[in-house]
Amino acid sequence: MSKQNSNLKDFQRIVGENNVLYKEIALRLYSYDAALDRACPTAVLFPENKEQISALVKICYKNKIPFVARGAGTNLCGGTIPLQQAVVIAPTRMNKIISIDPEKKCAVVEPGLPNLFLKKALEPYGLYYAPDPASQKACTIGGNIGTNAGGPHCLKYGVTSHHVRGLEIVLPNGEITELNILQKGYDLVGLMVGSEGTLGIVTQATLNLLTLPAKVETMLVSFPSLEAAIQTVTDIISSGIIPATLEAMDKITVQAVEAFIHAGYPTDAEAVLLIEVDGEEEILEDVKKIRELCKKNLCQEFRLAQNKLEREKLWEGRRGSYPAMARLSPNVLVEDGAVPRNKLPEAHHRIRKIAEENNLNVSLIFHAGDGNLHPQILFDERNLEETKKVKKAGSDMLKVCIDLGGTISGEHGIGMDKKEAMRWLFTQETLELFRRIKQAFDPDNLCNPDKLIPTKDAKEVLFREQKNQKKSSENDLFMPSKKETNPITQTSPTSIVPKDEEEACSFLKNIWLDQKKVLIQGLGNSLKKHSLTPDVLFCTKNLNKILEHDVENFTVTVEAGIKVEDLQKFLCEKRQKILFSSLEKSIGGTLALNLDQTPLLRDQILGIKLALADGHVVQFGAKVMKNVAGYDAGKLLLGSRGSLGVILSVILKTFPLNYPIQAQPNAQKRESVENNIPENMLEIHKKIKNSFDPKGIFYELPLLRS
Amino acid sequence: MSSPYLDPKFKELEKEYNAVVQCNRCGFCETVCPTYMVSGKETLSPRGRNQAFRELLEGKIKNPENASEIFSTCLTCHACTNVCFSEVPVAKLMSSARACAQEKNNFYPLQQFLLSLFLSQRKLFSLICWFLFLCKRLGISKILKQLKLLRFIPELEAGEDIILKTPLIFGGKKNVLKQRKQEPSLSKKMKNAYFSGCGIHYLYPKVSTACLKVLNLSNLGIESPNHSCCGLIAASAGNLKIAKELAKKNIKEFSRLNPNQIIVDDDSCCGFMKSYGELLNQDPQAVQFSNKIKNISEFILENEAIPQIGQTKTMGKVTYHDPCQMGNAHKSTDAPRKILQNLKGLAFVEMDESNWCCGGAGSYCLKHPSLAEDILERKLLNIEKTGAEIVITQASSCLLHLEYGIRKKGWQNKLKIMHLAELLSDSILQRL
Repeated sequence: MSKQNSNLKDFQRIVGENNVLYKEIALRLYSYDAALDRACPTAVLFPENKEQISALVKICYKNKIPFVARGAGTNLCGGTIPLQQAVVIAPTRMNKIISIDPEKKCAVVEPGLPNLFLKKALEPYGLYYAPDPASQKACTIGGNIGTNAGGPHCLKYGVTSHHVRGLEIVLPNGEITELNILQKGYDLVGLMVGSEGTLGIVTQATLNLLTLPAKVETMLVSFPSLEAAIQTVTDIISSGIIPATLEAMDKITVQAVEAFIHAGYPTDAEAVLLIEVDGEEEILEDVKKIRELCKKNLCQEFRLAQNKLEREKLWEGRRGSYPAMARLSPNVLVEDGAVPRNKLPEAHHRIRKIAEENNLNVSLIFHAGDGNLHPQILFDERNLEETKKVKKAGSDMLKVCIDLGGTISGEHGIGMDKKEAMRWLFTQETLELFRRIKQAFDPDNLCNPDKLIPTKDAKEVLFREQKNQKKSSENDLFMPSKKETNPITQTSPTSIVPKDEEEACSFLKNIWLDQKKVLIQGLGNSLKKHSLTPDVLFCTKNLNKILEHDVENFTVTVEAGIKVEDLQKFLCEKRQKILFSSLEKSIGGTLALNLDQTPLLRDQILGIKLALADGHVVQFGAKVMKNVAGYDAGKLLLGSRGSLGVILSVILKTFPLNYPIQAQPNAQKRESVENNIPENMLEIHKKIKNSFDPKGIFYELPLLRS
Repeated sequence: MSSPYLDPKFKELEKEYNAVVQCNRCGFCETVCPTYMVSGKETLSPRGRNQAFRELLEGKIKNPENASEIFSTCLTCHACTNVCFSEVPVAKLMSSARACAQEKNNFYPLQQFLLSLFLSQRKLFSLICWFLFLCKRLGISKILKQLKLLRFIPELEAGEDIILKTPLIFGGKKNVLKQRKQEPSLSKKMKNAYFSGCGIHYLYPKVSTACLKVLNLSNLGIESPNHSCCGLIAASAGNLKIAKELAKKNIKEFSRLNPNQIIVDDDSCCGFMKSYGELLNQDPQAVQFSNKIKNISEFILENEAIPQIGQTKTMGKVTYHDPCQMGNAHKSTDAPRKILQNLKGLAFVEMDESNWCCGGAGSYCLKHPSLAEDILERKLLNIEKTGAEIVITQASSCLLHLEYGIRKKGWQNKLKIMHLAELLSDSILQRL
């Protein structure tokens, strides 16, 4: 108790007495977020600057006090609930815009700034910040970064991670560091965004800004079936038009909205699409094309907003979908899943069935362009029986998403609500890797503890051990045995060219046991002269198959060794393309070297399958456009230069052949200057490397080689 | 059947409980709440207040007194309710919440008795005010403050700085009305009544005079019966019982006159009286009464009452500050703007966040001076941005607090705060 008091005194000394809450009644008001979970903190602290945050975290680190950063507390997944009696660090008063640079199109802001305030401040400059989560009125930029927030406009313009250029972070040990996407080494900005405050506290962010479009056209189209609506979505995107938003609602939702808002939505249609295109004059052409595509899919009513007022009215209907439900019942569970776009009708069908079976009042809205869906389920949290039923139904809906090749969260996050669901989505190896990444930053598990990653259970440990034993004894014949290597091969390394993923993993398992030094090679054309003397040259050039091209979903899954040129040729026949520029390289090589297109490249990768040094396979991402489940660890591989593992296969976003590359938000090439990483991040880099490759089988990043 | 989740101790608050559970904690209200925005604290946010009240009613809070700060710091500005999907009436719930959390010590019954007595007997209230105002004029309160003896009554201590002028002659209605009655042009068909709120009556008698001057020009027949406080003071203090009694008393007083419309000179009272119907459980007489309530600007606009008004003596750039009880609570924001836009010689400019509370909020600025000042600061910055020379408003507590802000900033020479009636009466004088 006295220890606790002395900590309180320390906190008070740093931020001032008025900026520490510790009375029970006040703490109760920090026990919740916008969802259901509850846990009280031991204190709430309101720092005013990064130095104070750093000082507070240092005390926590020294005394092993868990801490949680919390912005506006509008999150829907329990992400900011202070577990383990953590202290809450609330940078809500750090809400200033530090600078706006219209030339470089970026803004530097503090984490407590509400999203909408930034938007308003940018209007006079003709600029805007693209991510627009529904809670933008209240939610903070810091929170947006934590959850990698999306919003209706992210179909065309991307989610938060596409718009964060740099971060200033207080690490779990209290040190302050600066990260940006041009730094050498692993893409730690990419990792931080969406890490739900488990790796550090953002104290400042540099954000990418876009120019406000000159023209906007908004359409409301009704369809006799959701299938027809989704087919229209696919057709629109196939035609080369990427609308700013492509929102869908089903009949029950439209009826609920109309009863409340009277926005003039057609209540007899099975589905409606709200389509908005923006840009210059040419969008009038797009509107015409969209109208034709809607007609082709037998739309019922096609309504084009004639003026700002009408457009506002249409949006009012869409925005009203949550309020229309919220007013009916004390609580609304807003579930959040994502599936490949073309699977939306099936997901809808199965989710509706779950709702019917459980006799639940559910409305369904879709960010149809992204395949992101939000069932909104009415209930009353005081009715425990009902709450249990609703939670179970929500989980079942997520299972449907996984079953259809999707994910358990498109934009809300994992927090504590979906921690267990992570087990359904990720392999134990991947979860274990997440845990090691967390440890690399936060060895004492103090920074937003017990979130995002489910704890290791006993079964899992046992399973892992068995698997290890079994696997290590087989497949010896693939590996040239140690005895056979003669003195000559020690100077010229053994080349291994696996023919498929399985073989690649088997080789790695044996190398792991023998602890050889491995250099990974793609097509070999970028291998410069270097002083490295690897035992094994691990060449992925035969991993060159196209595993799946989902034409309608605009995704392609390929093995890493495929030449970019070959893949482009293949896609070209299907009237699609990827936005890679160096044709001679392999996909894996392009990623590992993070060639010439930093922002552009990282925005096209939807998923990566990686063989770790021990031969275990981990997989991040899925065939979905939006995915915030788990760490965005795939980003670490960009520019990893073979230091973390062997990239086996990659899921890439594809684009219609006629898609103008400059339409991508980050299309303009950045200066190729690479910034050096701060001293205190070298250690983190080593630890990350270690979490992927604890025995150092692969070479370190060049900048870390001493 | 009352809800099984409601603590039986609070069973008479079923309606309030049902309203507060509609808060699903989405948090959208936070950034419109002035106290949250200046503090960044959930304990000073509408969502926090809702949750605290809910837990209190569910019997989960052992010592409700501990929550009193959470409820008392609400400005009751209604901004949150306007952005709430479930329209949780936070400001209205605060009366009951404050009552629940009030420390019921030995002085409590006496306190309540005095509150009831002074508010319902205006003459008695006048006596107290007169005495206190005199003390201030004689510099007694200043000396007491310097001797740190006012610390025991924080409201008076804060008032020493915030209140500058303490008139010893209150509301000027009698003289003006008398004068007017003798004029033959008064239309006998129409009969309207005038209600002068306590703030205007005691602190701004010149506004009251100005109101009557303006109204008398309307030819719509203005009379002013005796009346007491509208009840807002009692409701804010957490005593809805007294508030209801005052409401009933006022309804009775005015019913004798049976006016077509009732013009209220203070927006705070005006907004509260527009809700008498709700306060008295939709009693038909109360609803009827509420429907007749208008502030000066609504009255003028709806009746095209004073065609003479066209030019003002006062010239320059003018902006309007919306008093919460009318702007936020009743979304009555058009009328004053239309009038200001039509006055010759004035250039109307809209200020950012015109509905952001000035921090005055009745006696709030006396109870929570430091919070109120932070809130005021943002209002002043928004006013400064407009470049206006005159700020118009229609509530006494806004006048009081904005004037205080201007003194603090030293802007006395470049910025003037006026009640709409003062501006209009100037314009009339110009004509005559």
